[in-house]
Amino acid sequence: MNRPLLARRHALVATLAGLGGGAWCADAPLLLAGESLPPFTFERERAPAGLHWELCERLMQGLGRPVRWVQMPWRRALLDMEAGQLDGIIGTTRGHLNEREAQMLFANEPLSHVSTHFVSLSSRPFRFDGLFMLRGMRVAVLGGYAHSPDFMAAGYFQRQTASSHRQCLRMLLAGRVDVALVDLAATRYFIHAEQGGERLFVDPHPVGRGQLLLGLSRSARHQELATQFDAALRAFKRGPAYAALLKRYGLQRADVEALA
Amino acid sequence: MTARRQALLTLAAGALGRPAEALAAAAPATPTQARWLREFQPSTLSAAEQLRELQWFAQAAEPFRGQRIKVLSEIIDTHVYESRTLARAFSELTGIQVEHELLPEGDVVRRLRAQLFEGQPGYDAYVNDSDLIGTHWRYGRTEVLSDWMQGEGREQTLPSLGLRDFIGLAFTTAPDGRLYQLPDQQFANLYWFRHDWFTRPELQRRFQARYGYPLGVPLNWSAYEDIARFFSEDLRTLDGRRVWGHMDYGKKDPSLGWRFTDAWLSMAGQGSPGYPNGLPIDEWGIRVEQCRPVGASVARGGGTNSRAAVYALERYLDWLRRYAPPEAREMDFNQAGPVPGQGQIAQQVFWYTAFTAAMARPGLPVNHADGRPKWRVAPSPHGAYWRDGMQRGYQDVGAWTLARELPLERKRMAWLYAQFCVCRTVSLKKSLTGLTFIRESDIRSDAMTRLAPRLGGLVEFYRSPSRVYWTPTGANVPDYPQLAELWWQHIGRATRGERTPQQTLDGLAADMDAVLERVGRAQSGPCAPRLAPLGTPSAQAPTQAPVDEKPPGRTIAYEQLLRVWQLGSDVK
Repeated sequence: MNRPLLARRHALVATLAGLGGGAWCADAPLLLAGESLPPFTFERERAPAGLHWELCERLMQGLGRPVRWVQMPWRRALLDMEAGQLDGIIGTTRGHLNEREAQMLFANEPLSHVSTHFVSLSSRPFRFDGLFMLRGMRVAVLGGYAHSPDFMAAGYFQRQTASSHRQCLRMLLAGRVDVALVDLAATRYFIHAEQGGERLFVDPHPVGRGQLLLGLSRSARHQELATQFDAALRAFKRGPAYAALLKRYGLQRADVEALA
Repeated sequence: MTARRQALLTLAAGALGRPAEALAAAAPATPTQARWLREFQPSTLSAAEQLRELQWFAQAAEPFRGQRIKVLSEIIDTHVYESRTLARAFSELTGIQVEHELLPEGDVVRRLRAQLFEGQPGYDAYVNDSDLIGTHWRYGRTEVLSDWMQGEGREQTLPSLGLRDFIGLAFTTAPDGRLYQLPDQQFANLYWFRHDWFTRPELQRRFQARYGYPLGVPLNWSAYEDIARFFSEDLRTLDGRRVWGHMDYGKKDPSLGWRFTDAWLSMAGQGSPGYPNGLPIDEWGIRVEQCRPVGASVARGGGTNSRAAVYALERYLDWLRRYAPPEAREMDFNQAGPVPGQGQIAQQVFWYTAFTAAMARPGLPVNHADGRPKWRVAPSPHGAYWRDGMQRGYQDVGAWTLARELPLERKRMAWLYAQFCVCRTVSLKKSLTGLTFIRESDIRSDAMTRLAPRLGGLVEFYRSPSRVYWTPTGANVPDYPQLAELWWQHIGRATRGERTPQQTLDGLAADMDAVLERVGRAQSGPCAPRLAPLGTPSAQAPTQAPVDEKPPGRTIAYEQLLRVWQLGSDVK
């Protein structure tokens, strides 16, 4: 975790706690956590960046609520949310059994729809047609995330865990794996921002999909804010500024929208 | 990169999943093709794409025109549609005559076994459950389809087959990473209940007052039992009719056995955590070391006669006797399936969704006049020994299987018909008829969205990420036909009161061990059974250690569960 940010967060929490329990000051900055997950949330030149960060910052600003970001792994963010130390988590989910609804209020409109795809070298393109096709292969996967249990349980290929999508793709480019199972938007961003991206082939068929949402603290009584953010996000996505924002991260609407 | 990996990548880039657009441009439809295209509506393909597929089949079948094949599958609505409609369509479109025979599942398994292992003449293809994957993989008596499609069956493999579209492909892929069967129909085992009764305010009040918690979808067997008692004993009649709080079947018949291997033991909590089946002990109670079965009895480290298994059998017998209609004791799978649709059953702990088509028929007392169901499906409740990570439910795929020893020409014809029964041209129509979905494209189709309100949550289940946690019998079972024969005969003795539950399962476990030993002599390799010595300590302590077998009942509102299926997609 970034130390200055951590210090700022603790100072902020202390200040807010001093205001008395969940009685958060209406014009105090919202403390939102997010992990390092380009292109959605990450740090660039010691400042928060990313599609989701910019969406939250811009739309919350429009709602009269400045925001601050703290970077932390998603599991830790959930613990901090439970402890009442956060106003929200950028890029979270409802949980497998929607259990996080007990703690968080969600804007129903997702920040992004996400999908995972097999990526290979364009010189040896891999077109997925069933898990059995991975027989004998080495597959890079992102650690700490739930992949399909079929994929995780299969014993006839090797899974090699990486700490980020970027690392998965670098392993692929270095020839350390045969294919990588990675998020589509992360791959597009990699191709946009890094050298070697042009050597990658993205299989168009998604093997997993989901949504990343903004979750706001239920205990801090952000019900109205969640509703307002939901409406603002829907409206923003219809406008030209959204397309321009996507473009800055090398993305197109199809990369982050629901698949037909 | 190794040569093997390169070869695999080449195969991956090959012809297995090209879209229908990639097929040769279609000639104008013949009158026969046009007639069948009208039958196969709606479709997830365009009419032009459908026509291209039909014309591909006609062309691929040309060398076999005028010949006849015979295939066998079990009796469910999906196969009835295939037998009556698709077999005729295929014959008219290709000139290959098809006799698609239907028999009870137990007979399908017996005939398959007789053909594979005793050399008896039989059929050119079978639709048999992926429960047999451990059998096919170990014996090598059936074609490995992933090899077949690149080898002798290549010319007869539909370029637009689209394997990745099949939701049950993992079930028919063995631990060696090879595909042994082609999915044809898939169904799950879920909890079924009368949503209209459960939401009646007066019944909710009475249940709450009597049992101290809300009437809802039971999360554990205690709640299921309370609800069963509530309808069968507390209420007894509703709207002037006798009602029952439970439904099952107890006839001494092969279908009695798979009720236990599919559902009762796993949901009781007999078995280890693991995916797709418990490791080291699966839901049959078979213990494996690596891939080698080493025993089913507790004495050899298995769980077939463990306390959890006995608890499952006790509950089965008790609930069947106390809460189900008396005639259920003499019913089998096919006889019991339609009973909830007759309107007197409040809930069924394990309900095969293969009966959805029958349940959704207009005019049944369980459906409103406008076709909306009064019933819903939900995950089945867990028994007292169940823990997180154990099997959440049973789901199987009936899949096309080719005997290896058949003449090549016959296998090629049968393969063509098998693909015809699952190609996208016919798949959505077949899915809407039999409601045993196999393709993601069908499940996500607009037609399915329109139908969903009439299916009680089935479409929501199949669209949810939860569905993959319902799994079939796995590769641990090295000889399904032989081992399955033991179960119904032993359980049947318990339903007739000839043995206690413990005696029943002790006998079953001993016979399982004996069969495993025998199978081990017939099979070779590192995954062939080899019994562990008696006295092997069971690593499955939870199923042996005493637990409170009647914890407080817990229920959940159906609407909350439905939201989990609709929204509960989590990657973190």
